[in-house]
Amino acid sequence: MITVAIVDDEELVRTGLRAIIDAQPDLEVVGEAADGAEAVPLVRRLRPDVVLMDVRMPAVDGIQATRHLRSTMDAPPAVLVVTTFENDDYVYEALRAGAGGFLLKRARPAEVAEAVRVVARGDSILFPAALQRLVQTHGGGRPDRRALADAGLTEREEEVLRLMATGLSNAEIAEKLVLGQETVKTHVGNVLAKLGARDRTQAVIAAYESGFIVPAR
Amino acid sequence: MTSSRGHSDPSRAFRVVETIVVMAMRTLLAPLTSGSTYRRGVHLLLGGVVALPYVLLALAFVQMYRNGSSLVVIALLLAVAAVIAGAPAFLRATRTLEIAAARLLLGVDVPDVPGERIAPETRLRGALWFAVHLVAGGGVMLALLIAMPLAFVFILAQLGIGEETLDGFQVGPLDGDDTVWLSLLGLAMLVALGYVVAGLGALAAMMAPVLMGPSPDERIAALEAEADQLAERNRLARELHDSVGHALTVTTLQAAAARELLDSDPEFVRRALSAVEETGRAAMADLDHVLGLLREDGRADTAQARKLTDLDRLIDDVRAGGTDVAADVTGPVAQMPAVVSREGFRIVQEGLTNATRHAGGAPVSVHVEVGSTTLAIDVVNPVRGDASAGPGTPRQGGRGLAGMRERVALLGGRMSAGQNDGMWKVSVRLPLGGRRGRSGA
Repeated sequence: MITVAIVDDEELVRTGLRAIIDAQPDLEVVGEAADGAEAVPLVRRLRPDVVLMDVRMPAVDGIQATRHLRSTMDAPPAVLVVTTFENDDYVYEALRAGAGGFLLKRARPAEVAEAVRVVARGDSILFPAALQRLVQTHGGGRPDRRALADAGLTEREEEVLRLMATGLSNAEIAEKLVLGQETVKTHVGNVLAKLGARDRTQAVIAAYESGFIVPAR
Repeated sequence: MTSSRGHSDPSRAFRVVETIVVMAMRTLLAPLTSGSTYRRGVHLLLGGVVALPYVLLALAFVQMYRNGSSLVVIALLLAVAAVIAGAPAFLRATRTLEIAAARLLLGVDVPDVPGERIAPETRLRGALWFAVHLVAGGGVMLALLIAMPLAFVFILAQLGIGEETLDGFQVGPLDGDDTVWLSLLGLAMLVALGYVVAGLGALAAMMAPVLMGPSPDERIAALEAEADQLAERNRLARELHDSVGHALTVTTLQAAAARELLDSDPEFVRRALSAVEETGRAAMADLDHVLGLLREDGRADTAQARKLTDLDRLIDDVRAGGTDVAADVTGPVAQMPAVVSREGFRIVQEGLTNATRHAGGAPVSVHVEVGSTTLAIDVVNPVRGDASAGPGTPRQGGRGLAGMRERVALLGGRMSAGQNDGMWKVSVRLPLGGRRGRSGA
C-alpha cells in the first residue's frame, strides 16, 4: 500500500484527488493540509510515501514546503507537484527544489494513480516529454555547463543518464544496455552522487540545463 | 502577322518610341490630371479666402498712410489690429478646422494630439501653419485671379469678342494685336499655375503632420497611455485565464472523481456534481465581468482608475466594513507619476482586500511613504490561524499576489510578501523614475 498526503489550499481539489486516489486498491490517502505551513508537521507525523503538493498557496507555497521537507527529513517522502497550468515557473522551481515529478490537476484518474506509483518507486522519471518542455521553457536562463563537465561521468554513466532522461526505469535501462539491474542501479547512484542530485528528476534537469542533453525540437 | 518579325521592323521601332512618348506625356501631365492636385488647390484657395480680410486690412492701413494720417495713430491701430488679427491663428477651433481641412483636402493623416491640453509649442506650430497656409493660399489666389481672366480675354479676343479691351495692351514685345501669342501666354500661365499648385500642395501635405501633429512629448504621453492600457488589458486577460483555467480544472477533477465513485459513493457524486455546477456558474460570472471590462473603452478604464490621492476614501470604505485600519501616509502623494500612483493605489487596495478576507476583522496597518526616488508601501495584518482557508475562501490571495508581483516588476520595483511572527506583511518599493522599469521589462 502506498500512502499519500494531499496539500492544496482548495478543498474541491483535495476532495477530488482524494476520491480518485482512494478508489485505487493500492493507494491510500492518509492526510490533507491546506497550506505548506500545515503540510510540514503533518508529513512528519504521518510519514506518507508520497505528498501531492500544490505549488501556489498562500503563506508557505509548495516550493518552500518541498525544499523544507527534502532538506530536513531523514527519509523524505517523494513529492509530486500538482498544478493547474503546465507552463508554470513555480512548477519548475519546485522540481529544482526536489519534487520528484509534476502532475496536471486535469489529468485522468488513471494518470493520477500511475504518477503516484511512479514517484513512489522513484526508479524512473515522470512524463519525460513534459519535463523536457518545461526545461526548455524555464531552464534556458541559467546555463550551468560546468556542473556536468566537473562531474566527471564515465562513458557508461553518461549513457545511463541519457536513458534516464527518456523516462526509462532501471530495469529497462538494464535490458537496453545488456547489463544487470544491480549494475545499472550502481551507475544511477554514481550519476546522482557526481551531479549532487537528490533524485533522477534533478539529475535529468541538470543534464538538460548544462546542455549535456540537447532537447529534440 | 505582318510586322511581328525581325529587329529592323520600322513599325516596331515606331511603336517603342510612341510608347515612350505617351509614358513621358502621362508623367508630365499627371500633376494636371490628378484629382489630388485640384483638392489641394481648393485647400490653398481656402487659405486665400481666409487671407482676404487680412489683405483688406493691410490695404486700409496703406490707404491711411497715403492719406497722411498720424504715424502714431497708425502704429497704435496697427498694434490693436495685429492682436485681433493674430488671435485666430492660436484658437483651438482654428486648429481643429485646419486639421480637418488638411485631412480631407490634402489627403494626409494628421495624428491627433492626445489629452485635453495642447502644449504652447504645439499651438505655436499650428499658428505657423495657419500663417503659411494664408500666405501661400493668397499667392495662389492672386495668380489665379490674374491668369484666369487673361487666358479667357485673349482666347475670346481671338474669336473677335471684346477685342477693344486689348486696345493699348502691351506685354513685352506683344501688344493687343498679337492675340494668338497672348492666348498661348494665358494658357501657359494657367498650366504653370497647375504645376505650382501641385508642387505647393505636395509640400503642404508633407508639412501638415509636422506642423499640426503632436510634439515629441505629446507622442510619448500618448504612447505611455497606450502602454498603460495594454498593461491593463494584459492584466485582465491574465486574470481571466487564471480564473477560468482554475474553474475548469476544479470541474474536470470533480467530474473525474465522481465518475470513479459513481457506483460506490452516490453521496460523494451528489456533492461533486453540485461543486461542478457552482464552479461553472461562478466562472461564467467572472467571464462576464472581465469581458465587460475588456469591451469598455480603454480610455474610460484609465480615467476611472483611482490613484493614491483617493486613498482616504478607500480606507474609509474599509473601515465602514468593520475592519480597523491604521493608516499613515507621508510625502507628496499628489506629485508622483500617474502610473506609479495608480499602481500604488491598486496595491493598497489588494492588500486591504486580502487582509480583510484572511484576517477577518483584525486590525490592518497601512504605511505609504513617498520619498524622493521611491514609493514605499507596507500593508501588515495579523494572521488568524487557518480559519481563513476554509472551503468558502476563493484563492484570490495567491492569484492577486502573483499579478501584483508582475505589475511591480513591470514598473521596475521590488515586492515581498510573507508571514513573520504571526503577522502577514506585503511590502512594495516602486521607483518614482517612471519609464525606466517599463523599457527594461
